[in-house]
Amino acid sequence: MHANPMPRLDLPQGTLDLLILKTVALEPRHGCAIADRIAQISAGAVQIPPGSLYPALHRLERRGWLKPQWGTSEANRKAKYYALTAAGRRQLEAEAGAWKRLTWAVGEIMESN
Amino acid sequence: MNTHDLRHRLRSLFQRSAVERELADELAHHAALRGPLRGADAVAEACRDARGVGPLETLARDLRWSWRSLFHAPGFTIPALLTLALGLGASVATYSAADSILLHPLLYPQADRLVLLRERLPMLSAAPLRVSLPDVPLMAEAGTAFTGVGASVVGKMDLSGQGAAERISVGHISSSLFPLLGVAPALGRGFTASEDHPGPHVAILSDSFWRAHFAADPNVVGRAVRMDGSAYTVIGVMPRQFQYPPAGLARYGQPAALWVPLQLTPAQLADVGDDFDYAAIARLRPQATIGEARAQMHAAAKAILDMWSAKAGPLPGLKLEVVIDPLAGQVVAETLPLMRLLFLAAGLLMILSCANVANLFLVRAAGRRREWAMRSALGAARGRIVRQSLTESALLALLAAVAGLVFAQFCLAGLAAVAPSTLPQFQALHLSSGGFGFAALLALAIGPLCGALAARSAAGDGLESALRSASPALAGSSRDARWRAALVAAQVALAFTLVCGAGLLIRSFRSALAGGGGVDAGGRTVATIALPHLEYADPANVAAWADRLRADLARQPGIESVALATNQPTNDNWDHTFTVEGRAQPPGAKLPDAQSAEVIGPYFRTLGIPVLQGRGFTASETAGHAAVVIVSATLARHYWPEQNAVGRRLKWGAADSHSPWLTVVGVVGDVKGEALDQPVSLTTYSPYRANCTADAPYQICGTLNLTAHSALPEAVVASQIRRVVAGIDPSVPVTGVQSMASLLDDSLVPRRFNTLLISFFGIAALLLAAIGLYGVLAFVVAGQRKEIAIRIALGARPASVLSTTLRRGLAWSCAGVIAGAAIAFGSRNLISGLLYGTPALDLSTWSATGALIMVTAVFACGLPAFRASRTDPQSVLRQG
Repeated sequence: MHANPMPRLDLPQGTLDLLILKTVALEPRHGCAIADRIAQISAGAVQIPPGSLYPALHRLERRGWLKPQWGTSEANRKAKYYALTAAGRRQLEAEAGAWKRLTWAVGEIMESN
Repeated sequence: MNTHDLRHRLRSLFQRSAVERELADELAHHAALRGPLRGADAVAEACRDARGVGPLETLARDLRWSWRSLFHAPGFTIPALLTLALGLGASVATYSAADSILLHPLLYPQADRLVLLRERLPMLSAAPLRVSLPDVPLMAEAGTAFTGVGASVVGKMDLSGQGAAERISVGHISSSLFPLLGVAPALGRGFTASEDHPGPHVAILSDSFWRAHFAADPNVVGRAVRMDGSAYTVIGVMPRQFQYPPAGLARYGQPAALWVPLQLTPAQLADVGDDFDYAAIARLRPQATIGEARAQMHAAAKAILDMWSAKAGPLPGLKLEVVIDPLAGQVVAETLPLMRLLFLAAGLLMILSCANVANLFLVRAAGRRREWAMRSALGAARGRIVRQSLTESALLALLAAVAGLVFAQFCLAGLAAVAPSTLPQFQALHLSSGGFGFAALLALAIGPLCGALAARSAAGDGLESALRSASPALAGSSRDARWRAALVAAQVALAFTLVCGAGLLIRSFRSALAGGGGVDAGGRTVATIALPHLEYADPANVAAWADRLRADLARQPGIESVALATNQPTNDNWDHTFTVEGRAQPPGAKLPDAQSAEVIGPYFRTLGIPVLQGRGFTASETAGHAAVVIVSATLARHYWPEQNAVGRRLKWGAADSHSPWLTVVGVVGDVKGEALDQPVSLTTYSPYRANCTADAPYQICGTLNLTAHSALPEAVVASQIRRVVAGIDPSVPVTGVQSMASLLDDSLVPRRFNTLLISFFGIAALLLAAIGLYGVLAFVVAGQRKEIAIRIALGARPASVLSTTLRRGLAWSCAGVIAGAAIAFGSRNLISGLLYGTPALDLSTWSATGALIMVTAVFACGLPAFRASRTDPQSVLRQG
């Protein structure tokens, strides 16, 4: 379906939640759209199998970071959309900040001699 | 967990169907966009886990799943449920029965501290006797380990003034008895120490007497009961559950309807060394041991012997021992062998039903290998599958426990209904809380046990191979097949053991019945006539009355002959010691004794007892005081071996007694004096007037047992007897009017009860083994359908298919029968005490049991075998 210019990556633990939150930050999306969006932006490097995606969505919903909304998808079918809640937005900001500091730190260490 | 989280969890829990629907919609949407979702079940499962529904939801889901799966497999669920309920019910009923009979045989507080005192005189009898009344104060004096010693004796008194004449059981008790038992009257007061001495007549009523005769009047205290012509003032009423003497102490009389003081007259106290008729009961002090009490009773025995020789002169060689036993042990002693057998039978049945259920589970597990393999391949964790199968078995066990409790309740009600009244506590049977606990424990243990076997099969490593194999892998692994065969054989073995036990008891019952008791029961009607003490205190009056009765009755149409006696077949009541002329009696040795029957009329002809030597009594002998006696065959053989007893002499009591010598004029056939399944009694027969003199015990001489021989039906003769007795004196009560056959039959009531119980277990075991055989063979046949179809297609004849299948089932059964015979042989001593006229290794019973099991096996295996032989190869092979 997608060209795979980059080799597939395994996501580090806990990263999936961050990616999902980030993906729905702009607008509510359903499960397939979230997976597609992540694959598209990462140029196919990050493929999220449904077996990981859906449980993660339900877990985030339980935590109150995502809010389910029912709508009609592009395939003209009833679909479950996930929207970011206020708590989810706060969580995203915190996680994103932590992620940036972590990647910066890891980068520094890797580039040091 | 924040409030959102909680709300979310609650929604998952309580709006489960909505949540499930949403999840399904969501995944369906994904499938619509991306094509079928691989491992959809696993994804859904992971989502549910992610929603954090927790172990409660999982359990609820497993239970729902189990319920559905049990509901949709009635072929498994119904036999499994019935089997378990049967085994559980029988165990719980047995446990409850044991709980009330063995652990709580006496309804008195702290009954384990109560002891029964008895006297043993090796000269009179090897077994301990009841006690002689004047000895009781000496026991109380020496027994400082006791809080007190109570004495009692049960007698009959004639109740008058309240409806028809009635003879009731009256307990004469010392004032110390009820306080010592720890039971106070529910109404009024107990007896005082002053009432131990002659004084005004007072009585304490039993609850049942109070209800029957005073309509439970709360103001009954102060009212009067008329007995034997005297008025007794009611001073109290005992509580509802109270009974004394306790059931199970048959030698001490039936539980009394009411109690009066045991008044120790100076004459009674002077009558030492005689009348060993009294119960002596004591309660141990809280710190005292039974050993201390034994030492004290040793001293008491010395004091009693001193008192006797002070009154009667020196008694060389006379030995006396005061025997102490826990009262509860004495009460249950007779029931113990039965309870032991019941426990064994219930245990075997329980094991059998567990084996059956385990087997059904194994069969089912094998049948579901494919289903489980499929679910496993679709992503269900192996742990989930095992957990679900455990939940299923636990649910089944729970349902079975409920059904089993209901069944146990029925069993106990049935038990109480058919139990003879002599068994202690059988009337008050109820499901004990222990019984409930026991059921719960069993259910909890059995569920996982059976489930574990099935789950082991499910979690085994054969799942993928089950899927990979081309044919539906019904037969399961060969390990499972061996398990199944062993379980089926074990069931057959247990069934053999129980059926064999039941068979031996049934044979004993039949041989007891076939013995016939030594009389000719045909056309004989019996009745018991209790002559009121007041008018007939002198036995001469009783004899005169009896002569009139005989004359009047003989005039009735159809009556061939009439006779009366102080005893009745299966109802001995008077034991006489005697001395045989010319027979050396070592000092201190036991005097010979025998049942004594005092007869009026042509007794032997009327009862059909054969006269073997000499002759019966002449009419003038029975009408007078002739010094003659007739003895039973066994007595004659015992005391005059190898010589003719006729013409020999004996006398009542010891050689130096003042009784006259009596000449034996005849020897008659033996009669069963206690019961058809007891040994014959040694019996002497005397003319009534010769033995029932003015000083003879009224209890015995005042009650006559009538036998009438007539060709007319029993009902006609019964009404003739009642009419004639009422015509002479309407105040004389007639009881126990029945045919001789039913009188003899009644003596087998306890044996019939035991036989019924064990037969019930035998039938249940046979049924379970048949279900087991059928179930497993049917399953094996189903697994081999294809193989059988190929063989038939290749030309095998249906008969050969039938015999191959049948042979397999019968091989299991044969192994079971052999194992069962070994178990039965090993446990034969458990039943030998309950048998009559049948050896425990009775060949015909054993072979009949084997045959019955094999015939049952042929039927149980025949159906699946027949079905196998009718396999249609075309339709089976086409299924692919």
